[in-house]
Amino acid sequence: MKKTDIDDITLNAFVDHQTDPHTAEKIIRAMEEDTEIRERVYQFRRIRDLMKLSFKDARPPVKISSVQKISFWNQIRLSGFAAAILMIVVGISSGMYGYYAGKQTGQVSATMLAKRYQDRLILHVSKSNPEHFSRVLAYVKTFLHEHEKYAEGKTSRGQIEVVAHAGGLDLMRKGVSPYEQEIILLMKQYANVHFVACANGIRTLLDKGITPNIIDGIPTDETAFDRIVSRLQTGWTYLKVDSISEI
Amino acid sequence: MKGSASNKQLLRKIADSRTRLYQVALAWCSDEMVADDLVQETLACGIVNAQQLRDESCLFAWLYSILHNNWVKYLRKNKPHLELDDSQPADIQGPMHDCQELEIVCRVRKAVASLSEDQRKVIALVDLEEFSYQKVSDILGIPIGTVMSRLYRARKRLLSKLQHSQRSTMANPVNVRLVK
Repeated sequence: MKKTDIDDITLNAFVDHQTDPHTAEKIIRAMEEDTEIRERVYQFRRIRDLMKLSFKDARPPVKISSVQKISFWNQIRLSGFAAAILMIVVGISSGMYGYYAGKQTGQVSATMLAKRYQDRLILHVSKSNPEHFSRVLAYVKTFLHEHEKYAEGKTSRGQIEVVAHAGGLDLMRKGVSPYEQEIILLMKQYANVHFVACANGIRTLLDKGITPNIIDGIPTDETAFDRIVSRLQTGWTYLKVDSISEI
Repeated sequence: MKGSASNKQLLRKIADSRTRLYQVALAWCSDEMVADDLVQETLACGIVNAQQLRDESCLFAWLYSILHNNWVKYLRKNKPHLELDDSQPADIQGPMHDCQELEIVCRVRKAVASLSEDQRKVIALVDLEEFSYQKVSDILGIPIGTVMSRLYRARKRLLSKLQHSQRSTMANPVNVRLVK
């Protein structure tokens, strides 16, 4: 076989074990006879090995919040993977209930959730969409009002939390959010409503040279993902803003 | 929803894939924090939508499809995407230069960052995840022939970049003076 019969694309496929046995056999034979082909195969293998070597030890950065919290991933290491996963499964099973209940009945009602549970609800906003913001705020208010009525005279109170990341952060930015004053008022009026701004999202804004200016009192030291997972672990109900829009 | 036992197993696998996803995401974007964001988005989406996955053997391809979608969304939002040139530093600096292996890591990551975005996506999935060309074609939604040609170009370019950087290193050796 002449060396020109085998192009580099085929040699790459050979290196990746993507050729059929017949072609592989031809290449092996050619390699035995032709040092130039052998060298080309060696170079492609070398590049593949260097790629592996260069990324095999890459690990996600460890984020340390101002509070000495134990992250979900540390919990997995500390208390055993199975236990953590079991908590997530339980959390998600109950958390997803709201979502599926909504899908099945055509709505996810804040009133329904407020009455059905002594509930803890986490709402996730990820887009800078004024319509989404309006729905989230309306949902929060309904939940709080209904829960207030329902929980009257009882010690247990439901909680609702709005977690924003990416474009959703605009809901919590001073001078950007159309609901800045409403959010401040809600946080003053109700102890059981919380707003959380994703630490990663804030850093992304800062990287772009944008000052996030998050409304005072809204925590900014945790990522949305960590917050959601930790809430799901403790039985909170998760709702993405998209499912609210189905009302 | 599936039974709780298989659910548990599936969620365990999703949570377990964080580092794998991160390595590919890092190869794609060359930025530790962006890679971490992309992976977090992907995991959150994977956990919440786990019940949509019908065939568990496709889990990783499915997660990489989500990761790819997130990466494409990120690029759209963060336009203009500039190709990195040789003058941009790798994301690793400092004491690690003392170690030969880490120096190689630096050089390779820098060379990977110089590839086109399309080339990076393909080479990371093939070399780091060892996916078949067919699977990469499914994940990225491109023809298998395109996967092969992009991979070839990526490796060829890496080869040339690394040879070039090796020559530069040899041409500018570090001067060491022995002190008795």
